[in-house]
Amino acid sequence: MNHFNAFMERYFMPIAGKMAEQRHLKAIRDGIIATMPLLIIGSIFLIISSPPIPAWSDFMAPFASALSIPVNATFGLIGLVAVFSIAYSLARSYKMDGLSAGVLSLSAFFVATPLTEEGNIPLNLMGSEGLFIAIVLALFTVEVYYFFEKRNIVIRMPESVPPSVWRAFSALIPGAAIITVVWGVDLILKSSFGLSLHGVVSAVLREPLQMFGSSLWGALVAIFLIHLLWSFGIHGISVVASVMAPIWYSLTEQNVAAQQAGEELPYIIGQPFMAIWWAVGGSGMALALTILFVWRSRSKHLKGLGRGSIWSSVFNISEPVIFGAPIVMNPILVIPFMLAPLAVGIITYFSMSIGLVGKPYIIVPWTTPPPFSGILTTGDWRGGVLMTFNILVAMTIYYPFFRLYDKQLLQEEKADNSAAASKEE
Amino acid sequence: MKITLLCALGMSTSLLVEKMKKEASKRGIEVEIEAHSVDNIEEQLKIADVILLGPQIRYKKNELYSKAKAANTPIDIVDMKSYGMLNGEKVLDQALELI
Repeated sequence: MNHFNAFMERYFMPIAGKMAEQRHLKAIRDGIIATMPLLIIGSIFLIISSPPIPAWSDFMAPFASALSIPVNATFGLIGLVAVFSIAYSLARSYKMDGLSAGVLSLSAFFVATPLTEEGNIPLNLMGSEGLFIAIVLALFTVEVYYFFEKRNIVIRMPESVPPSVWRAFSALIPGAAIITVVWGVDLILKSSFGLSLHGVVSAVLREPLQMFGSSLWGALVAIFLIHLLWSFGIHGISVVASVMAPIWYSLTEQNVAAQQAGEELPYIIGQPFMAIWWAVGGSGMALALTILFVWRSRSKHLKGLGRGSIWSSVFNISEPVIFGAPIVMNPILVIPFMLAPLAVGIITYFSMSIGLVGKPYIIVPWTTPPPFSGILTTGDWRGGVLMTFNILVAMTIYYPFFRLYDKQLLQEEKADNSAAASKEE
Repeated sequence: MKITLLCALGMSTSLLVEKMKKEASKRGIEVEIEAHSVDNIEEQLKIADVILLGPQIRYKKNELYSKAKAANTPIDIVDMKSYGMLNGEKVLDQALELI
């Protein structure tokens, strides 16, 4: 095990570190996190407009179109907000002016947006459908901007000029170049192939990524990787989500659109599934293990840890258990730590796909305790039942491994005590 | 004196901070202890006397250590077991030793 640890520390950690620190991935992640308040606020209005109680839902029906306004103005704008905030984050990481970069990328985003036949801005492309082109254009804008700044091809103003004026001028040349290039590419695509930039990015990036991201296999691979990283003590979600988050958010937003239109929800996997459903009590379904610690452990260590960390587990914070038990580098506990969330992921997926439980479409803060998170994310009381069932499944999977580890610790504690006792004599 | 703990979002470290504060007041030490997201490191380097990292972000060690070195602020990773057990006493000792 020690050789293996050394190997992981030496080769695996730097890769994980580089991935989480990669400038563009980080900018995408931070830019999307910036849409979080909108998503949560939008979710509140969604719950009000289509609550899990049928009688209330009928009562709310006449207000549906009024309630769709705040939902459209939050959820419906994530593409638009993301293009600005991703460009802002990336520019900041180059120590450039984030505001100018954000403003330019917004304009580039609109250049690439095909208008409706009446010449209006199509609302549907402002939301998740526009998320991937938002990412592409935000990165493109900042890279071009950076290219010009690095070579000093910008209009410089004397120091005495106020920053707002100076900013506007320094963005002129790179800005004109960015808008012209995006416009030119879009025109060429339109005139020679009858395509729009939106359509091309959608076909090349969005659809294949969504196909992978929305599949059970995609989810299981992600869950597996997250737990593999955690079992070496690495914050698995921040690494994996830096790649996958745009896909998950986009899937959820399409569910929201379907819910508003009164259609069947297209996806099971999405942000709520990945943030809440397999991570009850935090990564590894850790609440199940914490309950076993409190309820069944005989060793002092696990009992103490259980009592100390049960409340953080209820709010889905699992670090105390992961590092305290520890699960990290622990050959006994690592096995159920990986198996439990995979099993729960599969059970949840199938329960939702055969219609036993509604599909999740509401985003709640990840610290929402179970089983409320199960009810709220799906808008279905049966979501709470399934989540409770999932905790029991996870407890069953953990139990034999927990017993083994508890016994081992108990023996160690006894040996320590008798050693201490013999010293005292 | 100011001790800053950093982790991915500053959530789990904030639990530890409470325990450390209790321990510090028990010992009668005047100290400010705060938990933050690791993204705030630049700011924290300017005001903290010592920085401790949650073990879950130790994959960022190289970058963070070089930043701390440049700012001349002592930095260390919290021992995994004391982190998990929320052992305020041990982690406070670890911080005090570094200063």
